[in-house]
Amino acid sequence: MVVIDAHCHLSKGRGPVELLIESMDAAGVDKAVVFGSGAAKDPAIDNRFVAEADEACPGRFIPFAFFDPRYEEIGLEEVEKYLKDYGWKGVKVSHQHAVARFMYPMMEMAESYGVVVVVHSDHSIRNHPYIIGDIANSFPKVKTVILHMGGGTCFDSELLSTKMAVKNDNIYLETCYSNPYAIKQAVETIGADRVMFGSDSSNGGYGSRFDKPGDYMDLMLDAVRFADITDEQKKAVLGDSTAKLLGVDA
Amino acid sequence: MIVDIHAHIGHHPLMDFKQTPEEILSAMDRFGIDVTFVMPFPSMKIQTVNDAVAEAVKNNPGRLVGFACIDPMADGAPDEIERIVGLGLKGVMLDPEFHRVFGRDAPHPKVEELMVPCMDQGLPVLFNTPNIETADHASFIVGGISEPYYKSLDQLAFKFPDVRLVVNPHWHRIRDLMKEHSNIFVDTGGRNGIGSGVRLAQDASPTRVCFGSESPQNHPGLGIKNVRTIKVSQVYKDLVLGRNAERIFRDLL
Repeated sequence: MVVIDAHCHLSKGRGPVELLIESMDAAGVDKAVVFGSGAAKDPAIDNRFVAEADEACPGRFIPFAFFDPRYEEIGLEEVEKYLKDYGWKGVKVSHQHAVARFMYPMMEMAESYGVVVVVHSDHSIRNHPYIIGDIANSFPKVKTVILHMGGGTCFDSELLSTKMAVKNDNIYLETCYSNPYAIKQAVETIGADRVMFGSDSSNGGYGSRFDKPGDYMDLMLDAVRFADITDEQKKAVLGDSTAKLLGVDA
Repeated sequence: MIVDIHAHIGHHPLMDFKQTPEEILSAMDRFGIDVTFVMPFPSMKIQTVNDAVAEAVKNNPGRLVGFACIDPMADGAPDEIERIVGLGLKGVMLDPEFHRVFGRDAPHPKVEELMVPCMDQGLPVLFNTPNIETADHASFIVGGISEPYYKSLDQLAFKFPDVRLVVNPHWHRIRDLMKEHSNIFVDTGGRNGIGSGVRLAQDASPTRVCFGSESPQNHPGLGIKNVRTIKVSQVYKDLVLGRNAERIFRDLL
């Protein structure tokens, strides 16, 4: 069974790439979708860092371009460079910017390249699952992932994310910070092939608050393992769903 | 001994969260939890939901400890406290957001009045709350709810020092409140992804933080693993998982 983490950050200055690899190895994660974190002042710095990491660790990462709408058309050019020249499979939208006006031209670009868009969610009016649902509804051909399915902030936001996914076939949910209850509900409502394991791990960050490398990622894996769903559904959530969405080997 | 001081029974009236006593007991067996404090979700059907908790406790002595949901704004709230004590329940849960009991600068006078029978009966009061900073973020009320929550708890703790007040680790200015009032305790409920409750134990008050899963919104197995793997001293982990609750709530066990 392949295990793919659909939500990891690589950010220059946070720590060596090996920190993330170490966590992946300890937790039994085969591959990780990786993108910048917004910690770097210029998203170009993190995008370059991700590209270098992908080259240094072949087969371990699935890189996405980091999009910061504050940079307007320059931010779009930065994204297009990686979609066009590097063939990356997705775009990550920076925090707090799901409502930015440059989201729309970015979504048009994503549609034209046939790539996935992943968006941070929380309970605020800038990143609420309903906001992401509205964007996804405007671009039904763009596969859109609600990162941590609204969870991590408020209990009901996970359930609202699932509601958005019911209304929009192009919405996928990623599980980090969510709990087995919400994951079970999502799987039973929209199907396991639209629910993807993720941890929000990075080359530093939350993982460093735990005793050993991989502890944090393993905790996020347990949210899926503890869910009262079938083994087949768990297999899908832990890796097959992401592999299918992104067209990588499972 | 592992004690979970915060779990709900029933069906949430606003959100589609539900849990039966059997599901709680099953999780207790699976994850080695000795005792769980069970309470209803917030409700306007107070007697019905409290009766359900009383029934669960009666059927599982020694394993479940019951808390009642009380709406301080309802007529007869003190009478309901007397009734639930008669049913064998040993604590009170208030939900300030659901029952709208905190004003801008102080708790509603009825909340303060309710503290008196709690004090007389030795009932701890657990506040079932959202992550307040998050609620602030989403609030349509200018200024949010952070400061009123801080002020209200500050006043209650000061005026009723003999009542044990339990809140989640995301309560606004919780570290200040714990330094100021020895009758404020924390359960590790709220979102448990990165162990904020356990770190609060290490940083602010090792002896007044207790494991609380806040299931079913959170998962007890994940909560325990979170405590066990977060980077704090093993001594604090043991305190949080059970020793603190054994000491603080000895009279309930």
